[in-house]
Amino acid sequence: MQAPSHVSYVGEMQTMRIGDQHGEVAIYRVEHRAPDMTRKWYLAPEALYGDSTISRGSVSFAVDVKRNRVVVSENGALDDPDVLAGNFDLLVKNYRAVFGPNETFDGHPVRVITLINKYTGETAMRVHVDAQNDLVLERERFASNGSVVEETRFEHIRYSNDIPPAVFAMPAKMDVVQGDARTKPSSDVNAIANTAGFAARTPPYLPEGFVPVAGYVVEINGVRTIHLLYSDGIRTVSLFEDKGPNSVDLQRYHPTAAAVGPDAAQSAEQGSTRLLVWTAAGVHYSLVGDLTQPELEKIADSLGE
Amino acid sequence: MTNDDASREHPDLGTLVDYLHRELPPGSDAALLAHLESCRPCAVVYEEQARIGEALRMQARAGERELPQGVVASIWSAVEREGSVQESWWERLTAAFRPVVAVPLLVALAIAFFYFGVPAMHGGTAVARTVDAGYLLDDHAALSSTVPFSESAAVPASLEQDHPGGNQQWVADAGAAGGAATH
Repeated sequence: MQAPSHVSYVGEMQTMRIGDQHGEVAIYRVEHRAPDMTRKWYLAPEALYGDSTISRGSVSFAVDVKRNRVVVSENGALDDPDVLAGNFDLLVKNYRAVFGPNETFDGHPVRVITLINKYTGETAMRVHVDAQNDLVLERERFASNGSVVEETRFEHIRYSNDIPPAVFAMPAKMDVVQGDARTKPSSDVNAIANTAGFAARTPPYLPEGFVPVAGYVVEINGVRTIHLLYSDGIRTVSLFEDKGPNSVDLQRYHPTAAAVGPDAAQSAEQGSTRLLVWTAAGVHYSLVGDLTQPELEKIADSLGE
Repeated sequence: MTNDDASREHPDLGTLVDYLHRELPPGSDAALLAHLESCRPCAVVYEEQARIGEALRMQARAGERELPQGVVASIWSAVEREGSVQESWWERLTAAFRPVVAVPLLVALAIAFFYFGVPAMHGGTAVARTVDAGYLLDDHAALSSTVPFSESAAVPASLEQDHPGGNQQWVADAGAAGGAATH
């Protein structure tokens, strides 16, 4: 959950993401010093114990104690207030907010807000917000059948303005390695598609309420790839396209065979995020998002029309 | 000096200038960045050095001068005089094997051999590689981070695998007409 700019706190968070076949859980201690310094120190799963991430605005440092390195990455999307504001307008346009009975959490009064999809009438998300400072203390996201697909919640929290900056300092004696440096995205999806260098397509079909939000042109292993993001304000789906020799390796995610029209495809999931990968007419496509498998396949089928 | 020490100590002017010109090793660079973010006096010195550097560059550009026309003309005259001397075929052959000619020629032949012999070097068919799906998930999560109530990827891909990433290059201002230089 995006850390607020006006509240500093220390707590423990649990995040759980549930797919059709697999789920993933992470537990971490979090310190946030307003406006934009956050450290997450992983307690679970065991493979991550002791690792941490430190973020300062759009720059993040992934501290990997096993490999004795710090990977520095940047996300230019977090520097773009217009994209942030536009996506909030989209949420308000596509979802109806309903206030539930107030509750308390860890001694803090909490407002409960349920977000209902205006087109399907289904509950998409429920958030528990601290009534005094608007910090989201718990967030649940639901599938169309009402099952929980994602839950992020504080186990406990303490507000404090005394978090020392040294908490967010880089550890000593570790190799510093450059990771991905993402620029600010563009909101002109058609222009992005036109700079692909091949006949890139945008999907004729999208679930109701979805619009193109932003995108990039990125070179992966030297191959020009377009990345387009579509969203309805809560749910998101990314479309990647390229015409190079790269292939996507899904092995770590236990892929299963699928089909997109006459073309063979592979599908996989990481928690509640699904992937669908296929090749058609020499172009490699990948759909990544928190939609159902039938929804992804419908988007993929429309690209072949 | 460890990165922790470096982030606390005030850097000297030479170190600041090295940092300005991106000549510090990655660890020292990151430590100095952390120091500048928390030490206003050092940040002021750094900003002043950056302004001085920019002022010098502008001064240099303003001070550039073209060669006087007479000098240019005399050079071209000398070139034309050299070309008008008749050389015997033997003289031309031995001239071609003088080191000043032979070495660049051999280098050019070697470059041409590798350029045309290795398809990846001339932007022809790139070498096929696999892209771990984790990077697509990371990219999706990074762009989705602008959506309200979003949760970024539970764990960054760089903590789960050996490769730290960094094999992707984002093209800046891709939405602008004509695209732009690689980031």
